[in-house]
Amino acid sequence: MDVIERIRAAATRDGAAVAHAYRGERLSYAQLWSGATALAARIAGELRDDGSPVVVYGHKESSMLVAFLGAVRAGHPYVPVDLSWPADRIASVVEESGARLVLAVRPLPEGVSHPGMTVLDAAGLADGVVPSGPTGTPREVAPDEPYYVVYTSGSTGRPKGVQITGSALAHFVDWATGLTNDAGIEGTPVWLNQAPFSFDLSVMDLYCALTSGATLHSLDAASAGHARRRHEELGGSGVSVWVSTPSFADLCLADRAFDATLLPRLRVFLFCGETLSPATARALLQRFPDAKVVNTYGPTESTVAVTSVTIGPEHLDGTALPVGRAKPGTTILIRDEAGTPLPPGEPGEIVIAGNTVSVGYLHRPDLTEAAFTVVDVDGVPTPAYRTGDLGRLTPDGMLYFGGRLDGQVKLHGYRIELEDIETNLRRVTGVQQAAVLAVRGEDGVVTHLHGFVQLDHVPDGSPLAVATGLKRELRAYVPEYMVPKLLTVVDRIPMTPNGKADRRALLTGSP
Amino acid sequence: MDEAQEQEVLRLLVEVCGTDAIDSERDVDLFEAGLLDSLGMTQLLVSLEDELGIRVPPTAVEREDISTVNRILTFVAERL
Repeated sequence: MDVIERIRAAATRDGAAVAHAYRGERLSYAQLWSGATALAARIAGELRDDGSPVVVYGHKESSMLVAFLGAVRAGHPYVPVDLSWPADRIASVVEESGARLVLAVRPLPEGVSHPGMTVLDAAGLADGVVPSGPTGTPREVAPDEPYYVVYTSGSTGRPKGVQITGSALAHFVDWATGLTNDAGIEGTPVWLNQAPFSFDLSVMDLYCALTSGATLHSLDAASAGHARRRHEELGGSGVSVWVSTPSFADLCLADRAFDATLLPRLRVFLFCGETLSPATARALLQRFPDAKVVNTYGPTESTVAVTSVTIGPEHLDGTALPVGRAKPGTTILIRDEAGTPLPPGEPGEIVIAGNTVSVGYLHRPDLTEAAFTVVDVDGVPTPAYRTGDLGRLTPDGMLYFGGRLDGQVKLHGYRIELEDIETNLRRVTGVQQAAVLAVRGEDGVVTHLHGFVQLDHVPDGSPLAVATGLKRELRAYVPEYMVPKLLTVVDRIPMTPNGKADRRALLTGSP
Repeated sequence: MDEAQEQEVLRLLVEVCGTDAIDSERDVDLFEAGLLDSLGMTQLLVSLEDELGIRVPPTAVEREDISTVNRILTFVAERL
């Protein structure tokens, strides 16, 4: 059954059940469903039935969920855009996606406009307030049509939109919800939502919750980053399924009071987005003896995650945790540079084939063709995605992640193309040339970014003041997590013979 | 706080911020400068406990208490 049908069924079964809890707000399934019904009719009066994407802008408000569901029930995929994005990046997503409608749950920042773009105030959706205007008869997105489009960092400095169909989402949700089976959850599950909706990790908690009649409990960015507020918010949440990046768990673990006393109903940790370290897993298993820790892996291009493993004592001695075995409907292949399959144990590029692979990047056939392909799985031609990730499979199908083939890095779970930052750094006043390095800790995990810039003239002020000024301007172009922690002004960016920044020379020459 | 303790706090801070440029600019807002965030703040508190025995739960600290080098030195001096 598809995702929309399952949400409809949950609303029919128990309309009074809480679909979303955020601060003081409580959105019932009946409110979610009826709000989306009214919004879908309004969207059908605004847009032709052309499947054009609808941008939804805001943070963790309940109206976000109504807006998502309203868009897909009107036959349009939605593009979640978080409050943390600067105006420039929002504008480029509106332009790249061809969206003609923006649902503004929060007021759009100045400077986001595009010819033919309509902005509707969507702040009141959770309270049943639908923007006034013409209505029409909506048609829901079909299973083979895009359900959402998530934008991710692109190496050209412009984000690229990954299209996920309703069918891919349903296959993912079927499997991901099952990861919580046999975990001993009592009563209606409560799923933690920590990642912004623009980050597809949130798809895991959002849709596993909504398709099963469970409650999604959202933590906003301000509370997540503030120890006391985080503690209070988590304590009152009743969370039973934890979904976050390992970095966020590390942040919580620094507080001794983060344990089973604070979260007595917690039974499952689901991790995705970056490498989970044995130390983090060990600490969680100690603090939460009744919970299981599940590591998962997958890129946005194959719907959040495709492998999973429950971390047990046998995994904790190694230096790296496995990322798991493929879910049903997915085949993991390891291939060499020429595309030849490699035998078990040999490291190579991870290629994901199966029923959750994206239909490609929106309006970017060039990028789609470069990354997506069709492979033969047991005689059946199957859509596949070349991840650019390195990995190896054990003979019994356990996958180990081994880094990247290119300049993409994961910082605290966020996927970043270093060239994306470099391109945007060159837009900053006075910057002639820029290079960004990912600095790694002893365990190989990226701890921070270090940018190097060559300026046409060095402004007055200390190095710290100059760097702060440059960062301030860069924040107008990229989200905060892409602003390098360190920025060093150099006389000249060293170049390799083939015209690229010489990263090795920068690293050794840096103070 | 004696000289050795102050040097130790500065060393921990340089480690968390990733640059020794902060040593000479002790009133710069480290959050504004992008050198300290919630994760860095947490790491700093953990290392202050490990190295100097100052135990402060993260829930008892506001950003304003430790937003500059000088404020951090005062914060530590009051708790030694």
